[in-house]
Amino acid sequence: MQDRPTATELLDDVAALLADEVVPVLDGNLRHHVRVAANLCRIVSREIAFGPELEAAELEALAPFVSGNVDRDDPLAVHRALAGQVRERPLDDFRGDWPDDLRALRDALDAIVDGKLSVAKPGYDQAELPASERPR
Amino acid sequence: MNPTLDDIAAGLAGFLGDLWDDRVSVDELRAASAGARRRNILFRARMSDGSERRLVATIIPTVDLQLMDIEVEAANIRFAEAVGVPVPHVVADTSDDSWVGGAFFVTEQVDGESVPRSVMRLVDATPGLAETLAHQCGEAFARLHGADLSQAHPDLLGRNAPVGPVRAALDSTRARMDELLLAPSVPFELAHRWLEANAPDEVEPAMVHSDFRVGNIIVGEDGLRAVLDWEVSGVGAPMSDVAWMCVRMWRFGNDQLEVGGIAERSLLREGYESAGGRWDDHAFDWWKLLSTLRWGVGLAGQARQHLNGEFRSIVMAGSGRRVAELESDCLTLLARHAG
Repeated sequence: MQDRPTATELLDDVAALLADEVVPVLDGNLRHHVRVAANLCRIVSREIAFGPELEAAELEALAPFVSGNVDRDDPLAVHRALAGQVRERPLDDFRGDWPDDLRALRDALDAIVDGKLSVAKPGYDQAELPASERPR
Repeated sequence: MNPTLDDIAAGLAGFLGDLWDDRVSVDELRAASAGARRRNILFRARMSDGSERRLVATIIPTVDLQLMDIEVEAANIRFAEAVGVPVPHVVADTSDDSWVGGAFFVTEQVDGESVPRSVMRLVDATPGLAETLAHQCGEAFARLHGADLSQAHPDLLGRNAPVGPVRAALDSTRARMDELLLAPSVPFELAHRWLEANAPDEVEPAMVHSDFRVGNIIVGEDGLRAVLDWEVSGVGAPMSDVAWMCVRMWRFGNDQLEVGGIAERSLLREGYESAGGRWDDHAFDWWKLLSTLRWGVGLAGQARQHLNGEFRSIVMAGSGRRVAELESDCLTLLARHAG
């Protein structure tokens, strides 16, 4: 066991140092770059905190959609297989209302992408959108 | 070597002196925010009779970074002006790189706000401006799209494309997905399949700006004053041009207002139709999803360039973790369109 501060505590400390003390004394490109760096520290901190749980949930949610001989514990293999399956579906499946399984896949991906956003950009999936972008 | 501002001042004074057959002095140079490919320098030119003009030089530092001939870009701005699109008036252009270390053109300065946050603040502080601006943007798009292409520069980008803009966009996006994505993206695959299955009919190609959005316009209290940055303008599909302005990433956090975070779609459409444009909601939605998908793939491409060492940058690294935003946008639009 490593001593405290923990990895996430340290990353949050570095992010705060960069954002609160370094960014204000910089300008131009470097100011922008350091602001991005602070944000990336926060992303990594959140990934350490929620990443493993999110990935387990992702694999569990996607497993029912994968067909054939694919290692369902390998995220990259699962995504590759699913992308290939989607690519091979007849175009008619994508016209009008989608078949149930395709719609279910889309809903599962929605939840997975929301999970990624909870690490990369919290709140992005909760923004109020124009009526033209809300589900009918 | 990059010329200093002093070098540029001397070069501009010489160039304008030749142009106007006068003794011209140049001062008050200021570099405006610019993309990686070009420098925009604001300056003052004084003639021998004491009169002065506020101008902008747009300089392409090296030919490698040039997306289009400076002559074609300047011709497109003049063409847009002739059909009634507000643009900075072009004073002169030259491909002679001996004056300021690169080909360049000179335009009149236009006062107003162009940085997105400042535009949003002005819109918030000025009653009625959002409606006016959206309407005027619609009109500007329609005038450009309705213009007679035979009067435009013969070397216009995309003029002799072998396939229509819809087919070209589908094929090039597929190629970019295969080339740039760092891992397969199932949301992007769904989006591409939907786009394939629901492609709008090709339409008569038109002159398009291709990057007309908040950030590339100058806005004053009276509304739209100029459309900037014509470096990717050419021939394309009208609805692709208007849809680009309305994708979520150009709303700068003001997500509920579809047109650049300032107004609703209906206002842009009214302006477009009032100037003779033919609006098509299906094509608009299709191009909006296509642009969203392309942007997501482009972000992955930036992270790829960082990772393979081609262009190392913390910002490009961060782009990799922004791909999920565009996956989310694609899924949101798909949920709307696909039952």
